[in-house]
Amino acid sequence: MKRDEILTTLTGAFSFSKIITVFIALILVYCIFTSVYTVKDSEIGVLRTFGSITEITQSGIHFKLPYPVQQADVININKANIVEIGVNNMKRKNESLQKNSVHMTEDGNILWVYMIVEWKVSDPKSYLVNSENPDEILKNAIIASIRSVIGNSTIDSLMGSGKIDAQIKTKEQLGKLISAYNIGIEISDVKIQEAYPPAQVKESFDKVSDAVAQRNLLISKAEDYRNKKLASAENEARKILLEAEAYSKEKLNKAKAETAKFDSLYEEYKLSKDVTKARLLIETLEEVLPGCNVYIVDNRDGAINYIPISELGGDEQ
Amino acid sequence: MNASNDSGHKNKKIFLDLLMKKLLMIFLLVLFIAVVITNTLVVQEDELVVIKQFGRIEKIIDKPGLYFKLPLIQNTDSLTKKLSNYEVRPITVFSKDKKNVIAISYAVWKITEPHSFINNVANTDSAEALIENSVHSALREKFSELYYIEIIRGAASGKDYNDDITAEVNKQLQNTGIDILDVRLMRTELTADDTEIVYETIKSEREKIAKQYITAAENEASQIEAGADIQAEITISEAYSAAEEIKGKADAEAAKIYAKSYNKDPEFYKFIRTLESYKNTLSEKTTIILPIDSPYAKYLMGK
Repeated sequence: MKRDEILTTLTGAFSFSKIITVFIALILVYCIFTSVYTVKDSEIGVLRTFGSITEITQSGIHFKLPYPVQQADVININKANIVEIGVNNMKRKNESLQKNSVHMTEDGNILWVYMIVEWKVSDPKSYLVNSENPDEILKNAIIASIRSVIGNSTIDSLMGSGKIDAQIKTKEQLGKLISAYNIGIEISDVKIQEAYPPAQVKESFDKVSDAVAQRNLLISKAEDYRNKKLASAENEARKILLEAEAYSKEKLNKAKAETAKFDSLYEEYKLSKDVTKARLLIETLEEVLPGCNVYIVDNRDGAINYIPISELGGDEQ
Repeated sequence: MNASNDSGHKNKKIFLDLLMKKLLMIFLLVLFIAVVITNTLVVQEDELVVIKQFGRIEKIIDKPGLYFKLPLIQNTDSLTKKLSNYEVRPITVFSKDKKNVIAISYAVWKITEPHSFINNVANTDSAEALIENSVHSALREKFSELYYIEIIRGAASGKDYNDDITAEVNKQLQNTGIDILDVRLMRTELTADDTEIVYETIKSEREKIAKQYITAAENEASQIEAGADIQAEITISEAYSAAEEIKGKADAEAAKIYAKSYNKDPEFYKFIRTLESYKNTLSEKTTIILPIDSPYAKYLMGK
C-alpha cells in the first residue's frame, strides 16, 4: 500500500502538463536573464537581430529579445584612447619596446622616437564589424606613417624645430590610411614626445650639443666684449663733445666779456679821447710799475744819468 | 489478501508502464530541443558560414540570419568577412644600389569571394602563408628597382611604391577570393654589419659638425670683436671731428665778435692791447729803462 501511494505520487509528479509548465518556466527565466543588458557611460551597445546589426544603443539599461533572435555587444568607446610607440629616452634600455620606433632618416641616420597617438571610435558599427583587430591595424598604420615621415626628414630637423612639422605630416598620413581602412577610428592627435639618436652614437651627438654650447659661449663672450667696447667708446665720444661744447662756450663768453669791456672803454674814449687814453695808461702804469725797477735815462748832456724811479717816490699822484 | 495483492501488482505494473512512457516522452522532447538548438545557426553580419556535408561543401552562407542544418551529416566552418591584419615576417632584400634592407611590412586583407576562398585557400593560416609569399616576392621585385634612399623615402619619382606592391600582391592572389586592401612598409632595418658602418659614419659626421660649429663660432667671435674695435674707433674719431667743428665754429664766432667790436677803432684797440700786455709781461724784478724824453718818463716825472 505504501509503495502504491509512492508510485501514484510519483506518476502524478511526472504528469505531462506539470513538466510542460516547468519547462516553460525555465524558458521564461532564461528569457528574462538574457533580455537585459547594460551600457555604461563610456560604452555603446550594438544590437543584432538574427545576425544583422539593427540598432546602436547609448548608455543605460536596455531590453532585447532572447538569443537566438537578438544579441547585444557592448563595446568601449572612450573619448580618448592612447597608443604609445617606442619608449622615452629614460627607459631606452628596453629594446623590445623600441623595436617599432627605430627608423631611418633621409640623411642616413638612425632615429629613435617616442610618440603618443590619441584616437577615438568615430563609428562604433564600423569599429565593431569592419575589422578583426582595429587596434592592431591602427598600431601598424602609425608605425608605417612615422616611418615614412622620418624617411623624408633629416635627423637634425627631427631633433629640433622640424618635430612639429613631422607631427602634422604623420597625423595627415595616418588619417588618410585609417579612413581608407574604414575601421571606425578617428585620429585626434599625434605627438612626437621625443626623437633621439641610438645609444651607440649618443656620445657623438652630445659632442655636437657641447659644441653648440661652446659656440654660444664664445659668441656671447664676443658680444660682451663688443658691448663694453662700444659703451666705452660712446662715453669717450660724449666726453670729447662735452669738452668741445665747454671750449666753445668759454671761448664765446670770453669774447663777449672782452668785447664788452672794450666796448664800454670805447664809449668812454669816444667822449674824450686824450683823457681816457691818459687815464688808462696811468692806471696801467700804476698797477704795473710798483713791482718794477724803473730807470729814467737822461742823456741830454752827453752823460747817462740813471734816476731810479723809486727814489722819486711812487706817490707822485 | 491475495486478491488485493494481485490487484496491487497489476496497479504497480500499470503505473510503471505509464511512468516509463512519460519518461520516454520527456527524453524525446529534450532530445528534440537539443537537436534543434545545436543545429540552429545565427549567421552574423560580419561572418561567412560554410556548411559541409560529409566533408564536401554543400552551401556557403554570406548573409546574416537564422539558419538550420541537418544534424550529424552536416557540419559548419565559420570565416570572417572582416578586415584582417597580418604582419609579414621580415625579409632581406637588395636595393638597386646593392644595399641590404630588412623590410618589415603589414597587409590588411579580407575575403571577398567566399567560394574561391573556400575552394582554393580554405583557412586563415593558409591565406596568411599565401599573402606572405606574395608580399615577399613583390617586395623583392619592387625594391630591386629602387635606390636605398627611395625605399627610405617611401616613394620613387613622387609615386608611393606601396601602391605598386599592393597591386602586385593582388595580381598574384587572383582567384584566391582574397582582396588586399593595403600592403605597407612599416619598418626597415639594416644588417648588423651595415648598422655598425652607419654608426661609424654618423660618429665621424657628428664630430665634423661639432668641429665646424666651433670653428665657425671662433670666426664669428673674432669678427664681432674686430667689428667692435673698428666701430669704437669710428665713434671716437667722429666725436673728435664733431668736436673740432664745434670748436672751429666757436672760434669763428668769437673772431666775429672780436672783429665787430675792435673794428670800431683799431688804433684804440692796439692801445688797450698794449696796456694789457704790460700787465701780463711786467712783473716784480723787471727793470725798465726809459729815456727821459719818452712820454712815459714825462708822466712819471710829472711833467
